[in-house]
Amino acid sequence: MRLLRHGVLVAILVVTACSNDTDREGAAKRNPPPVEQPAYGGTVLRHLQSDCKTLNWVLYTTVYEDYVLRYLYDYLLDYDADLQIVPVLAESYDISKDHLRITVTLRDSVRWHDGEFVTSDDVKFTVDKILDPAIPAVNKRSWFEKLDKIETPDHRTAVFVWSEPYAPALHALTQLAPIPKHVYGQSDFMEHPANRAPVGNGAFKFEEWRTSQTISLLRNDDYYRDNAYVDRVVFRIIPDQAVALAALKTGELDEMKVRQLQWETQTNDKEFLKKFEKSYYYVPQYNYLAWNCRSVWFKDKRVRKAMTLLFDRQSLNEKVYSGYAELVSGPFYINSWAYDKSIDPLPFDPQAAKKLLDEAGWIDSDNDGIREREGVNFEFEFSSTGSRIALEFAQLLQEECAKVGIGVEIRQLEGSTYFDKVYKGEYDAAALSWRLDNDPDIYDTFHSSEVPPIGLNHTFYSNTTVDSLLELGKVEFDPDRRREIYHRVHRLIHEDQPYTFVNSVPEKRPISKRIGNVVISPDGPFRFYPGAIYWFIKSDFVNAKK
Amino acid sequence: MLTYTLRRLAYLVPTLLGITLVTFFIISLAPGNPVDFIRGETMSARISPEAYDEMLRLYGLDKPIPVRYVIWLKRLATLDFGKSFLDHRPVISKIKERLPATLILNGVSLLLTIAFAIPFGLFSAVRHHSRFDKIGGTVLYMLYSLPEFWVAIMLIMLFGVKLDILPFIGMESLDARQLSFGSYFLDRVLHMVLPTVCLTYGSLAFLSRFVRGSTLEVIRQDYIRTARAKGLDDSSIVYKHVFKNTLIPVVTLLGILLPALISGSIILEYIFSWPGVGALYFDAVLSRDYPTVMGLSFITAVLVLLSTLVADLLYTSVDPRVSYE
Repeated sequence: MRLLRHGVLVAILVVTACSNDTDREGAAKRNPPPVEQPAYGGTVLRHLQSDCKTLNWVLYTTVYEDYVLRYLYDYLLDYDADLQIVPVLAESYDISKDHLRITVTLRDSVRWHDGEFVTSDDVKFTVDKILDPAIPAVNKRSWFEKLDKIETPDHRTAVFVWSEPYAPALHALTQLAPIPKHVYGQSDFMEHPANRAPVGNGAFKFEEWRTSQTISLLRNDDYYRDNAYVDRVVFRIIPDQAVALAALKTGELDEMKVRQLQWETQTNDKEFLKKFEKSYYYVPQYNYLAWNCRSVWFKDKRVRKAMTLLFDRQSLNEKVYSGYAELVSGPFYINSWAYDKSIDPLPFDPQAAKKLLDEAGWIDSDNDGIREREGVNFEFEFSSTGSRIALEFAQLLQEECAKVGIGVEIRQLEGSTYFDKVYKGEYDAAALSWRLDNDPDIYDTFHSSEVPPIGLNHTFYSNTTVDSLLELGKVEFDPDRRREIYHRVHRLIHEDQPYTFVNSVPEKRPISKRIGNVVISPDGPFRFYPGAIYWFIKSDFVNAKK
Repeated sequence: MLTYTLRRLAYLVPTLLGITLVTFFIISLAPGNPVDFIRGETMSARISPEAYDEMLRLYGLDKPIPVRYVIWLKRLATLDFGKSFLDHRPVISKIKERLPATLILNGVSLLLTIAFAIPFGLFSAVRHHSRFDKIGGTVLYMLYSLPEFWVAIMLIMLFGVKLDILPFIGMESLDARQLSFGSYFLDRVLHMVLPTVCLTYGSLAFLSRFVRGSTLEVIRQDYIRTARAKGLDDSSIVYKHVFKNTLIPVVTLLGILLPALISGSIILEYIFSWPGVGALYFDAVLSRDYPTVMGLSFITAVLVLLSTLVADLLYTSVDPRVSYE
């Protein structure tokens, strides 16, 4: 199911802060610390399902580009494997009492891959580009909308001055990797040659990009921290998942994200398990059914609740995901401190649903098998993309609805068309999913001012208490009070059911056992610092074939 | 002949205009646009109306479709296909970069198809109802009905994974360029085996049945009986009298097959990670990358029209009855 992922910072972010160290049961298994002394040399072979469009950090939009860029560019701050914010390119940072100024001191003598120093001018240049309306960096822009200016008193200091208190401000700095001003300079940013041959500052430097074939990176021996171990990281672009799995099995790849079916049936033989470590982890993502709260049927929250009671999510988890999915009850990442674990998902209960529908006035008074109210039949259109899983969702709902006298017409749409309808709010009900950010601010998706065509609140959900809590959450800096705010938001949204929160599905990724130093954070092996930078090829494999 | 050719070439212009006009309007009218696609992909759909309009302006989508079409035509007059919405690179360099991969794969496949299909079809026709004809025909029908994506995956599983003797990803191995020229060449050839087989077997089956059919028709003609009656031996009948006449419908078919040389095979390129034009086309349509779609459509249209023209001209050399004087 390809649906929407969450606003603002797209496909990228690192892990959400975890309330404590206990991951959800069955989630992120952490590898034991490496016993072997890391060996130098060798090549890590990574999989890209789709080619990158650009390697300009400001312009990038997809998860594939993020995979590559994380080797090339370090962020000012980043999340570590334990989900704590740590300085990376920055040596330290200081937050003023009024929370309006964050002073970042860059590490001394960090160099770009062409030998120039990384300075605060580069930081300012990057933010200027992100905020430039003529540059389509919308996915990064929203973090810096409350930024008043950046001061650069000297070449190592950048002061972020915010125009108003903004609780996610520090998080915003984990979303910023400077690009070199002296390289991009004055010439055309969008068509700059460096977009396909980037100059970074990270542990690896760009070597070659062969369109639709490979992107290769070389170890940067002048890295400002410990050098990486492997000589090279090569990304192979293999669009077909079945072929990629074949490549994994023949040693042409060291890792890939596999599908549910591959995970269950094609990666369990002895030989595979001997060669690969199978990891799965819950990324900040959830699937949901959206009920258009402006439609005649779903404006009543009793009806929305009834729909949730009719949707058998537990059997869906078993049937479609073979148990590899967690039911969710609210709009936050299940491993986040914002998610209130005391709120249980609604059960599957058609009887209770019928009662709610009766109460709401939807009764089959003319005995045609369809409930109606004030002359309107309860027959709606359920939109989804053409994916198989989205269809499973739709059919399950259709089946249960038919039993209680609700007509569901399934409408499968091609991707662009589908998103167009959803963004404009022109649908009755839809199957979707959000990719979340590390920061739990969900103002953009649930505040009543953020409705289509501008905002992402595409169900037209409106609850004044939630509105004011979301406003508070943006300016509350005390962690305990902020958690309390979002727990209340969680409960209120759960009561209103603008969505049927369905589940969170883990990513499943076998990684070759020839690789050492693999660390799986709750958000997986890549999206944190240092991510996969210090992977090494175990010594007995370095000189082996491939 | 020359006047005919010139007249046909002159007709190309209005035909192309018509084709591009229709294509342009269809893709522009399809729901969704590149900005929505980027929103969908990046998930950063929260975008103010001003920013949205700004993005549309950036891509030149703020103008009405007819105006956009005229602008596109004007650019085309200088052979400028514009820049891709996806990565802002010139469309022409994106196509150029991928053309060699598609050309070599489809070229080799086309040559193999012709080299095998014609003799096979001829032979089946001459010996029709023989065991060779019956078994060959059955096998070809079976091949023709096998979906190529399935065959491709099966071949990969067998030769790529189980036997591990043939590569199946892209055009060359990762270390290919450190190899000596000989091994490099071999590496490239090996990478072509599986995709070529998959691309060829279907058209091979199709074309050889086609040749067989048209040969059978020719063989039953009176002049062949005459040739036999005057005592010509079988081989000269086949080569001199039958073969040339069977070529007439084959030429028509070639007119259809040639444009496929550059349009590429979307499915096979996808499966074999082949960096060709087909994949580019597919992505461009999905992401509403109008300049790339238009550029590729235009080139394909030109090729279709040119190869029909070439086919028509070839008729004169294989069929003396056809004359354009």
